[in-house]
Amino acid sequence: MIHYSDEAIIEGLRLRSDFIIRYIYQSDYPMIRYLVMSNSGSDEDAEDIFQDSLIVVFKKIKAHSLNLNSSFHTYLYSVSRNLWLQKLTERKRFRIQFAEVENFVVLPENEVAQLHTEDMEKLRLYQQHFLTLNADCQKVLLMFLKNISLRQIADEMGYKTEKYAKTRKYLCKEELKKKIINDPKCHKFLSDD
Amino acid sequence: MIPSAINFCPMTKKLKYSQLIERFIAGEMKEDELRWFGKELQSNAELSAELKLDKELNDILQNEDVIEFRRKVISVFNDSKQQNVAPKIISLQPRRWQLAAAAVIAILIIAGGALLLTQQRSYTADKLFSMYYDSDRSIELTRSGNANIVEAILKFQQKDFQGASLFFAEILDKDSSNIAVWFYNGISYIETNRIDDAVKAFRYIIEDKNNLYVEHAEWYLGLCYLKNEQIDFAVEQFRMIAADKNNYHHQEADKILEKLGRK
Repeated sequence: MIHYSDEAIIEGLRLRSDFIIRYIYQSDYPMIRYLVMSNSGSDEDAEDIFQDSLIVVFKKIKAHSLNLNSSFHTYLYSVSRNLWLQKLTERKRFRIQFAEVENFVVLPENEVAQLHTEDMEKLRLYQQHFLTLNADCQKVLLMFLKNISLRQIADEMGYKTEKYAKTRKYLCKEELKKKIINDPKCHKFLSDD
Repeated sequence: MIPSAINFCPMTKKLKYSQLIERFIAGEMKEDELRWFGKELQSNAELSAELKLDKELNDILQNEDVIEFRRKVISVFNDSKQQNVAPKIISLQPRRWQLAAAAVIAILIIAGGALLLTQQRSYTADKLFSMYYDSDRSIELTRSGNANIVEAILKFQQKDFQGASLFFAEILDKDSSNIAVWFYNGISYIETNRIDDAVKAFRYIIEDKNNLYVEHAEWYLGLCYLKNEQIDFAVEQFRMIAADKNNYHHQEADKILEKLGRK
């Protein structure tokens, strides 16, 4: 297995490089999965936490605010650990005995404050469903949100009229909203109580 | 007590007010209707939740970078699930195969119907190159302790590409394994119209394979072919990029092929 330096990993993430994401998945996911599953979590929880942790790191890299005081792997593990602790607290399943499975760094308070699991969960839910829309729908919605004119959207997508572009945008958004509100994750907190 | 996470989810699983919300957000409501809407929002929790969902979606989808990153993360998960094995870090075989296939196809096209195919395009190579080439869009430079690299980066950032190229060449003389320098030297060569040298630089990166610049080098190599009016090579290069849906440039490559009439 090729090992990449922290610098290469960060640059790879900035580039959204497939093989760096695969490398991180291969090198870090087993440990994060083990952490979550040893502490009342499921496979799905582990995937969510891993995905959310990578998003946290990616956003930091893009904002030039990632300051590593440890190895990248320890940092990613520490972010995951924090996210999972918050999730357990939300679920009221936090027990004093939390099984530690790896060395971690204590994240600065301001960083922990940014790791708000509800926001992460919302971001994940919305974006995951967005990514299940067909490619045309994704494109129309993204163009619309970039304030590209309906005329340009119609031209780009090969629609005959602006009105049709507007209708397509409406229908795509409707489909997305329906997917979200019908996702059990959206409502699971109701049934948890 | 219901946890706060419920706040982002409307209470019902049916959307009742989409059209109304659409008109409100588009600013299409008349004054009377707007007044009614504002009042209704205060007393109608479902309307309020639906509006919140709509607005939050708009906010979250603004960040295309994060969406594209998530797309890749999900794809890595799905690949590994499908294969039910740990994912390989770098798969060299397909790329080698693709390159070989691309080379064969390129030769066939050159020998056969290059003239016929180029007649279909409505864009000149030079125009397409200008449309798609943007040195400002290349990857951010990573600073290093090496004084020459710092100088080169400064020159590059100041758009003194000739000066940057001199420093890059000096660095590569001492250490030819620095792929980032090869890449930026390639960009500097394009900027100074030394396209053949740029081609060599990008080919070096592609042949090296195990680096972070391969996808970008493939893209810029295609643009160099365009600039050199080597349309058939450019087409094959962009076809290879467009065929790989995970490639950072696949959509642009697709567009360029469409504009060349060679999709």
